[in-house]
Amino acid sequence: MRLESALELQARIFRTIFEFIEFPGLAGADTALPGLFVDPVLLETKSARPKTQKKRTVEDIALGVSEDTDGVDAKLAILVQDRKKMHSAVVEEIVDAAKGEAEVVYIGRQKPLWTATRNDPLRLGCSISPTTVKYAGTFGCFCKDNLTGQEGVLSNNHVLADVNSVPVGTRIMQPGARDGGKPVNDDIAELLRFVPIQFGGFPNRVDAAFATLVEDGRKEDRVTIYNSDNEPKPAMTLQAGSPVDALPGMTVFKTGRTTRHTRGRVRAVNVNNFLVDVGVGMARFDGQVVIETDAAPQPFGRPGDSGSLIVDEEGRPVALLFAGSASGGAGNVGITGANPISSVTAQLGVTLI
Amino acid sequence: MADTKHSMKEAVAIQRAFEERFGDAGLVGVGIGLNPRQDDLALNVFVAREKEAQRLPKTFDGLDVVVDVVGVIRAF
Repeated sequence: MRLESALELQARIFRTIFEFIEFPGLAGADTALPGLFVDPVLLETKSARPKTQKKRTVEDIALGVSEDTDGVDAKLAILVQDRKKMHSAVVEEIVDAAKGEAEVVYIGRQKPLWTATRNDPLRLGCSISPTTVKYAGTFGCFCKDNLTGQEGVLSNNHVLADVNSVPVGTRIMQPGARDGGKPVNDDIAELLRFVPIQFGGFPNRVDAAFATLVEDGRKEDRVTIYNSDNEPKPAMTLQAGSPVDALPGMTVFKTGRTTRHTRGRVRAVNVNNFLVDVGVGMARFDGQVVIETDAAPQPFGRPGDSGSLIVDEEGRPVALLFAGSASGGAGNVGITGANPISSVTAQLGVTLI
Repeated sequence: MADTKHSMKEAVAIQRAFEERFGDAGLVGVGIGLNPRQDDLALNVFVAREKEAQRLPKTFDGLDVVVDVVGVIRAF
């Protein structure tokens, strides 16, 4: 069926089989897209709901539309989270309504990414942010202040200090704000230092910041680089004391908040005049490393991965991820920019541990 | 990295000359990568749009110029 027909059918099934209510503000809108459908149970006040709710037939079933690659034809996608529902009457009713143009897929229970949840032990690559913002970035690795010996967290200036704007002493939480982190309960560190990002064509070398750990009762896993599984498994061991310089063609890895564990290839080194939109203006970076994916169409990095520590095949630190694009590079899925780790530790005055 | 015809030191000197010549041509980054045959270093030039790519030479001082159209680069 055509895409428009599939969307109309999806809307009809939401109204009839799911018995959802179409949000009035969107009903009859001048568009082929379905409106916003709401489960009426969610509109009831908590006290109005029956004490023991009857499990409804459409529970554990999600309904979408999958487009063919031509972008014209489409079919219904019935996504089932409970294996017992795969051949249930309600699924058959939906398939009948679609005159067979539907695929039924078992997707199991959906969990948030491990990187975006509260981590105990604290793991490299999990979500962090200051308590005063609404975004989330990535916990790069543990490091030690060369002046005081205090131990803490390495990430970007634009993650821990929101581009020069978060006061020193501000608490850092894990998970970050965007992933539901709560000030006080989720505090793990406080901002101690950042290398200011300068504008007006100044050749910045790093986008880096350091926050000292505070006592929060959580254990710490300082050396394991985890994979992308929902129940994360060790993928590599960090060799924090053996940093190496990036070379063109080198295979590298990172674990970050958004794309988790990915593999890439160094596309270019000593990249100068690397112009980055940091949200409050364009900043120039010199001496950077550019990485492309080694596993297209999976990109090496995406927004939220900033602060990830990039390592080589031996787990030796290479660079600190901080920027990227949505196009270009292998597979045209974007390139990723990173600061050489030697520049980061020198300018920030820290040693990786 | 395999042996390459040019050393990294030679490539950096060529990169500097390239930046002086084309630095104001709307580039969003110039670095050193590998050429498509992987047998020598190359100048890796990142541009925002195809339009900027068309102004650049195919080679410069003996190094291939590899151009990548990447759009806008943003803090991740």
